[in-house]
Amino acid sequence: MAIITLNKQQVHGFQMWWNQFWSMTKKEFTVLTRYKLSFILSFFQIFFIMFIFTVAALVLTPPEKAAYGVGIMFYSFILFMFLSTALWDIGNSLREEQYQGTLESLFMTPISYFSTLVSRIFANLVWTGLNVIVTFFFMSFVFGRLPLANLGLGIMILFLSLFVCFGFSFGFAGLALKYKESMNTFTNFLQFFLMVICAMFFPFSALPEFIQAISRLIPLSYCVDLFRTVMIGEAPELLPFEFELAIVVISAILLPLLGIWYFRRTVQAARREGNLAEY
Amino acid sequence: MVLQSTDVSLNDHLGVLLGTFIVRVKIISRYKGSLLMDVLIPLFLAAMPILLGQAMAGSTAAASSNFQQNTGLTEANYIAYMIIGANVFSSITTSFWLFGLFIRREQTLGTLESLFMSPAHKLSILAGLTLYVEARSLITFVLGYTLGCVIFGVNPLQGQVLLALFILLLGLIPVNGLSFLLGALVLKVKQANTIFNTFQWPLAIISGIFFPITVLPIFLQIFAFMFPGFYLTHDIQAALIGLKWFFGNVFLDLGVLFAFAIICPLIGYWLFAKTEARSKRAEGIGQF
Repeated sequence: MAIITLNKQQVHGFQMWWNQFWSMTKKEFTVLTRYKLSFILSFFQIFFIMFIFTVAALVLTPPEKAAYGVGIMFYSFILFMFLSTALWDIGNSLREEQYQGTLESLFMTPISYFSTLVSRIFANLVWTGLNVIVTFFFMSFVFGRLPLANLGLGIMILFLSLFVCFGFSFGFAGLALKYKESMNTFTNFLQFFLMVICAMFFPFSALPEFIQAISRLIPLSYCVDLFRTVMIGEAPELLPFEFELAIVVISAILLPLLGIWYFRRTVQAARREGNLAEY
Repeated sequence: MVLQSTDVSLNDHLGVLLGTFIVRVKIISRYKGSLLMDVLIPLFLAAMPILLGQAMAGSTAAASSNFQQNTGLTEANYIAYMIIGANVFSSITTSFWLFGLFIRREQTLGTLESLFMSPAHKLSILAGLTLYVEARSLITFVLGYTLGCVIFGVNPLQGQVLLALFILLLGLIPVNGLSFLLGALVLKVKQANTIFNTFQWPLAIISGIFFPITVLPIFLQIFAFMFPGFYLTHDIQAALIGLKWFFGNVFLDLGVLFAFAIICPLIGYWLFAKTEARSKRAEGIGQF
């Protein structure tokens, strides 16, 4: 039997990283497209959610501010969807590998942690992106044209915000390995907690001062504020534009690194203790 | 000796009912965080439109005036209206999923086929599940509504609180009955959770949880009139914040809920039994 030995360059080079990422992404796409009904219904689900909350907010809103209100709701919801995908998907996917008994053998191979984590979420991010585009047209059809002040800059900020979400996501993947089933309730809580603290569906001015002080400590708040105000064409609420952009850029670099560092530590600890496959 | 469900005495039916109830209580008591989320999630849901609306209107008073103008509900406190709606929605969701989730869980554990081979009647099982969801909804509604009112500065003890709780218990029975439909769907379609996750939102729209259905197009209003969740939500709002009773007086409204409470479980059960029989003839009911 021939034994193939890979050198360090072959294992850690970009080509190998890309191959790992692409193979795992293709596998995730195959799994996703198996459930065609889920794929189709997901578009309707997001529209229904947007519809109910938008109408609920509009019955309290004066007509001249309706378009602004719909814009705040829609653009905040985009970030919420990506955050939600990021918080749940990687942790759930790793838990599934645990149930199926394949996690331990996967982590015995010399794969990059970054590629294995990002590939788990990439397919769902593309799916979420498609949902956003379709919902944009649905919402424009029902509630009138949505404000779209600076699409290019908005997409750039959304892209940076995704990396901030990755940071949360990688950290949560580590926590999911450590705390297993109990993480579900915590993730559920955190998702709603961030929704309120980061003012995901309303302006920051709606929050009491002491909660706003907490909001300012969370980088995601600046992503939400910057993205939606750029799309609507208003000045950010928390800090001037340049400061918020700087915070978003720095967070987009630092948080994924921190997340991956924590994840690596958790995996190594689990390997030492021999409980990586326990669920 | 082969036992049929007709050979089983009333005591045995009560035993099945109580057993199902106790199992569910034991399972949920393991997940205290999940119960806490039952209380908190409606609060988060109601907070979204309330805070956005207030920010757009400029003040609570202006938001209130816009609400009255846009909905025609001149007597209603919009904060209490939305907090009640979010909490009732949470109870409706739990109830509606009840039997479907039960079937799904038994399928994945591999015990559904053997359970359905036993002479335990499905209506006894559903009654046990209903008892469980009624107790759970009562607790989470009281806690969720009180917490929401305290946070948003509304008096939770206004209106007829005991009547509202009675309406909640009565109104959840037909929703639980309809959960047989979800059970049938789980047997038929393996991705039933996706279908439910999608359609719970249109049900929320026609239940009038955040706004009265009069702001909706007429065809959606017709769907609302056929769904017991709409009467449940409206009647609790009427009892607590003084909305007009839908049929003019409390007894007529309760009568309609009572009629739904008899009809819905029967229709739900009939459809479930048909689907079950068809599934048994085809590939069996244990597949998932």
